[in-house]
Amino acid sequence: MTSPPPSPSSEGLRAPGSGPTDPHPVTRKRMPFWDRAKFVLILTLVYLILVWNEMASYEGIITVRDAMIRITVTAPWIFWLLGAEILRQLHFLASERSAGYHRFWTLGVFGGFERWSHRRFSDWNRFRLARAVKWVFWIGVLALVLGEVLKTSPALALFQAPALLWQALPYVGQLAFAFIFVAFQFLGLFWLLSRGGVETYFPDDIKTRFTDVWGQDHVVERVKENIVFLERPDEIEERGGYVPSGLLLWGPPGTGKTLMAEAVAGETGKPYVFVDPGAFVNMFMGIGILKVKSLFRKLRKLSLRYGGVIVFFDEADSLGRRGSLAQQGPRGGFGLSPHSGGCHGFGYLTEDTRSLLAGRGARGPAAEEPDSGRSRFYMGGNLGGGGDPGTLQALLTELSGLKKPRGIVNRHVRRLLGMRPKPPPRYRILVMMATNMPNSLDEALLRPGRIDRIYKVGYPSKAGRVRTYRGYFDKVRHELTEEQLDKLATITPYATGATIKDLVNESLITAIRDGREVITWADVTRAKRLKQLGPPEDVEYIERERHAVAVHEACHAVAAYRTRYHLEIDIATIEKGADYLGMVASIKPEDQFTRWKSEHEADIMVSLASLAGERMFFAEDNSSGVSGDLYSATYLTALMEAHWGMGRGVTSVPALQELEIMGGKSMPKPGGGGGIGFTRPPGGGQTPGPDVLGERIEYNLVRLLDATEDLLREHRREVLCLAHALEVHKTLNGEDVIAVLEHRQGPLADGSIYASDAFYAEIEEYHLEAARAHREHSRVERELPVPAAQPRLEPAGALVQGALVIGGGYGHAHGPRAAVFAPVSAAAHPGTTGPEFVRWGEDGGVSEPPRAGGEPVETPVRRRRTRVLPVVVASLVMLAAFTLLGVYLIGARAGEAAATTGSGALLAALAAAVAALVAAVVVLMVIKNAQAARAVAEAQRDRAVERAQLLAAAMEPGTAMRVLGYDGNGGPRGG
Amino acid sequence: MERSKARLVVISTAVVPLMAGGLIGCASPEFTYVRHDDGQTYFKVPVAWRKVDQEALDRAMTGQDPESAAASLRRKLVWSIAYDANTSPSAGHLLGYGTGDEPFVFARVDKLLPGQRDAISLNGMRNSVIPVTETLRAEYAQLPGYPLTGFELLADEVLQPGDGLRGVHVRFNYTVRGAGLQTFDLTSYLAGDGNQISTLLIRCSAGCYRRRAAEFDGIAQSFKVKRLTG
Repeated sequence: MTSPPPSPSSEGLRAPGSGPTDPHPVTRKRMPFWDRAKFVLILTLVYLILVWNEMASYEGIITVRDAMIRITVTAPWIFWLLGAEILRQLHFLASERSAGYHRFWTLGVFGGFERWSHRRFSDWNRFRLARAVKWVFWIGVLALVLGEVLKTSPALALFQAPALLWQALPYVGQLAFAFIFVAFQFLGLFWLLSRGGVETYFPDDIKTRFTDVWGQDHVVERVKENIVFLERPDEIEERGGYVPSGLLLWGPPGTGKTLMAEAVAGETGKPYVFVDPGAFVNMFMGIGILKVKSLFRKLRKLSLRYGGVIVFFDEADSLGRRGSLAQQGPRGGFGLSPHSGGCHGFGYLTEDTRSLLAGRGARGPAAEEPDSGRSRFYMGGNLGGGGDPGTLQALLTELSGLKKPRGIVNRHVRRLLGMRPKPPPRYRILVMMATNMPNSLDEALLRPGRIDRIYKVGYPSKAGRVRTYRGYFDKVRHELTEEQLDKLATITPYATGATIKDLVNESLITAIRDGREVITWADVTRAKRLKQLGPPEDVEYIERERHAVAVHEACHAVAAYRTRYHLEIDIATIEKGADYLGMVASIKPEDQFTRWKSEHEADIMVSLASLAGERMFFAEDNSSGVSGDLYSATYLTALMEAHWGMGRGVTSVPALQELEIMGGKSMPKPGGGGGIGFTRPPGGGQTPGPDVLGERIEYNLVRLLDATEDLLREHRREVLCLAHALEVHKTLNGEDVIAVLEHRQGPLADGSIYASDAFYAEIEEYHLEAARAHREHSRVERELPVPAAQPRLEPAGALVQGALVIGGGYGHAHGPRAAVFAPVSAAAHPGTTGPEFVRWGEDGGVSEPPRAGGEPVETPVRRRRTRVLPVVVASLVMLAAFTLLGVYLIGARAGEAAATTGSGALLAALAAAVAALVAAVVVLMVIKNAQAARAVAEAQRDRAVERAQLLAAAMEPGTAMRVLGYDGNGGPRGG
Repeated sequence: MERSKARLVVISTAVVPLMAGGLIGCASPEFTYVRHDDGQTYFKVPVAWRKVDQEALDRAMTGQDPESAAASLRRKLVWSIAYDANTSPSAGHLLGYGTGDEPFVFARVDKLLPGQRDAISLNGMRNSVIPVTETLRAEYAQLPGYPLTGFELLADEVLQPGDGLRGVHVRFNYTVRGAGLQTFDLTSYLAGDGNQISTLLIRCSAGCYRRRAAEFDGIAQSFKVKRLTG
C-alpha cells in the first residue's frame, strides 16, 4: 500500500509533446520480446501441428521422431522461413546495437526502395500494400500447412479446406438453428412489443402551412430559420457552423405547438414522424430503449431517402422527468383561482395580478424565489414520469450519437480490410419537442447539441388573437364586424388558439340553441360569460342578501369606474357561480406589460371598496364576503411596500428573506420630508409614516380605505343605481355598467331610467328598507322599484334570468317570453326562475317554439294528398278500362254475328295491358313514397341525435336533458 | 516478469536449433510409412527396403498391359504396392524368384463390387493372393506348370481388432519351384463397411523367416486398417 505510485510515463497514453525527443534515432528501436519471438513461435506451432497430423495419419505405428523427420523432409519450407526469421531477428538485434550497421541497412540498402515507395505511393496506400503483402504471406503459409495435412498441393488445399468445412456444416447448422430457435422467440416478442407509437406522415399527407399558425409570428419566424437550415445545411456548414438539430417549443396548452410542428413538416415537404407521448411507457423494461433505437434507425433511413426528416415528440415531458429548466409561464387562460371563496375571486384584478396571487398562495411560504433562474426541484428518478429507466438515456445517446460511423460492414469489415470506416452521411434530423412543462425535462436533453433552440410559444398577441378569431369565425356564419372582433380579441387577453376555437364553437352552440344559424355579438358575449363564469347556479338569494351582494358588487364597480383607468369593466354579476357570490371582472383594454403604482393603488381601492361600501350602506356592518378582497388588497399593499418599491421603503423584503436578514426600520428619505408617494399623509401634512413594515402596510390600507369611503360617499347614487340594475338584470356587461352609471341607453340595459330623481328616491327607499331588513333579519317589505315608464323592450333580452337567457337577441322581433323587463320577484315566480330552453324545432329550421296545434300536421297531410292523387288517377283509368270491357262484353253479347272476334280479343288485351300498367305505376309510387317518408324520418332522427350529442358534450347533463325536452320524470316533456 | 521472459528466450532460441540439429544429425527415419490414398490402410516397412516399380508390379500381378482399358479399370478398384529388400527391387521377387534371403512385402486394397461383397468369406480372404484353402489348392494343382507345391500351414487365426473389422492372419510354407521353400505371412482385413479388403503379404525364405520373425511380425502388426471418422 505504501509503494510509490508508478511513474506517470509507465501508464496510459503519453501526454502530447512528451514523446521521444529524438525523432531520428541512430539505432533501431528496441523490439518488444513478443515481436521478436512471434514469428518463430508461429512457425514452430505450424511445424508441431503438422507433426501431430502425421502421427494421426499413421496412428499406432509411427514414432514421434519419425514423424518429425518426415515432416522436416516433406515440409522444408518451415525451416526456410524459420531460418529467414532468425536471420531477420539477428539483423534487428545488430541494428539495435550498432548505429553504423543500422545506418548502412536503412539508408544504403533499403533506403532506395523506401524513398521510391514514399514517392510512388501515399502513406495510406503504402499501408494498404504492406497489409496486402502480409495477408498474402500468411495465406501462403496456411496453404502450405493445409496442403501438408490434406496431402495435396497447397493451392488445391486452399480450396479443399472450405469444402471440408462445408461438410462439417450440417452439424454447425443444427446448433445454429437451435440457437436461433431459442433466441427467435425472444427477439420476436420484443420486436412485436417495440412496434407502435410512432407514426410517419409523408409530405403529401400534411396540408398544414405556416399561414395556418395564427398569432405566433415571432416564433414562426424563428422556426422558419430552422427550416432554412434543414433545406440548405451547407449554408451554415461551409461557414464552419453546424445545423441546429433540436427545437423545443414550450408554452401553455393550446397555444399551437403541435400545429407549428405540423406546419414545419408541411412547409418543408419532408417526412414528419410523430412520436406518441405514450410510446415510451411500456410493460417491459427495455422496450423503450428498443423503441428509441428503432425510431432513430427509421429516422436515419428517412433522412437519407428524403434529405431530411422532422421528428416531433409531443408532450416531451413524458420522456422522463429528471430536471428543471426554468420558471414556467403563467398558467392557462380562463383558469380558476384558488382564492375565490367569499364574495368573488380576483375577477376584478388583472390576469397578471391574479396569477401572481394564485401562484403565491399555491406555492406557500416554502416557494422558491421568483426570479432566480432555475429551481432546484427534482422529481425523484423517473418516478411520475413516463418511460423506463434507460429510455431517456438511450434518447440522449441517439440524439448526440448521430455523428459516429455506423453499420457492421462500415465499422468492422472495412477496418478488417485496412480501410478507414466511412464517416456517416449527414443525417438531417430536426428534432422538435413540445411540452407545457419544460422544467420537468432533463437538462441533459436540453443542452446545446441536442436541443439547440428553446422557444416559448406564449399567449398570442392581440393581432394574433384577432387573426385567430377571424380565422375561426370565417368557418361559421356570423354577423360580427371588424370592430367587434377587435374588441373580442381585446377582452380575451390570454386566449389561446384552443380557447378561441372553443369560444367560437360555444357561440355557435348558443346561436343554434336560439334556433339561429348566424352568430351575433350577443351569442359571443354569452358564450364568453359561460366559459368565464361557468353555468350559473340556480340559486336565488333572499331579497336582503341579494341587495347586499348587489351593493357589494356595485361598490367594486363604481370604485373601478371612478379610479381604475387601466382596466375596463368586463362584467358585473350577482349570480352565484361555482365559487363566487357575485363578480366584477375587468380586462385590459390593450396589451400592457408593466404595472404602475397608480394602477396598483387603484386595484387596492377597488378591492377595499367592498368593505368601505358595506360599512357605509349597512351602518358599519360588514360581511365575511370581503375576506378575499382584503386578502388581495393586503397582498398587493405588502408587495408594493416591500417588493416593488412603491411605498415608503426601498428594501426588497423577498431579497432580505432570501439572504435571511431581518428587516429593520425604514430610514426616512434624506431631504424627502416624510413619506413619498401614497405614504405621504393625505392632506399634505409632514407627519412621517410608520416605520415597521406591518404598520406601514396597515397604514396604507387604512388610508386607501378612507379614500375609498370618500369616493363611495361622493358616488352614493351611482352605487345604489348600479345595485338596482344588478338586482334587476343579475348580470351586466361592461358597457351596460357604464351606461347605468352615465344614465344612458346601454347596448343591453337601459341606464337612462336612473336619470330620474324620483326613481332614485324609490331606490333609496328600497335600500333603506333592505338595510332595515338586514339589521332585523326580516323580510324586505318593499318591492324592487320599477321605473314608471316602461321603456322599449327589445334590447334587454339577453340579460334576464340567468346567463343562458334564451329568447330574442338582436333582431328577434317576437320575444314575448324573452324580453321580460318587469321586476322579477323570486317569491312571485318560483317556478319560472330556472332557465327556460327552447326545444328544438321539428325539422331543424328556424325555431318557432310555441307552434299552433294544427300547424305541425300540415306537411304530412299535404304529403298524404300527393300520395292519394295517383291512386285516384289509377282508379279513374281502371274505371275507364272496366267500362270499355263492359261495353265490349255487352256489345259482343248483343250482336255476336256482327262483331268479329278478332277485334274483340284485341280490345280485351289492350284493356288488360292498360290495367296492368296502371296497377304497376300505382304500386311503384306507393313504394317510392314509403321509402321517401322513411328517409325523411331517418334524417330527422339523425339530426336530432347529432344535436343531442353536440349539446350533451357542451353542457352539463341536467341542462342538456332539459334542453332536449326531458324532465326528471324520465319521459319527454310535451309532445 | 524478467525471468519468464528470459525463460521464453531460452526456450525459443534453444528448442528450435536443438530440434533442427537433431533432425539434421540423424536425418533418416527408421521406417518407410506407406498409406493408401484414402488414409484407411497403412503400414510401415524398414527404410532400407525399396519400392517396387508400380508399372512392373501391376503387369506382373495381372499380366495386362497397363495401358489397356481393363488395367485402367482395375486401377480404380485395386491399389497395390510392394517393397523389396533386395537392392534391385523387382516384382518377380514376390514368389522368391531370383533373390537370396531378402524379404518382400506386398500390399493390396481391393474395393469390392456388390457381387464380390456378397460372396466374401474368411476363406476368400485367406485365398486373396495365394491359394490357401484345400479346395482352391487342389484346383490350382490341376493347372499345368503350377509352381507352388508342398503347402504347410504354420499359423491361422481370425482377427477382430475392433471397429467392425474382421480379418485373418495365415502363415504358411510353399515350395516354390525354382526358389525353394518360402514362408508367406498373409494378413487380410475386411473393412467395417464391408466394401474393401486390405491385404498384406510378407514373403521370405523359410530360414530367413525363422531368423527375422520378430521383424516381420512387427511389419505384419503395423498393417492397420483404420476407420475414418466423419
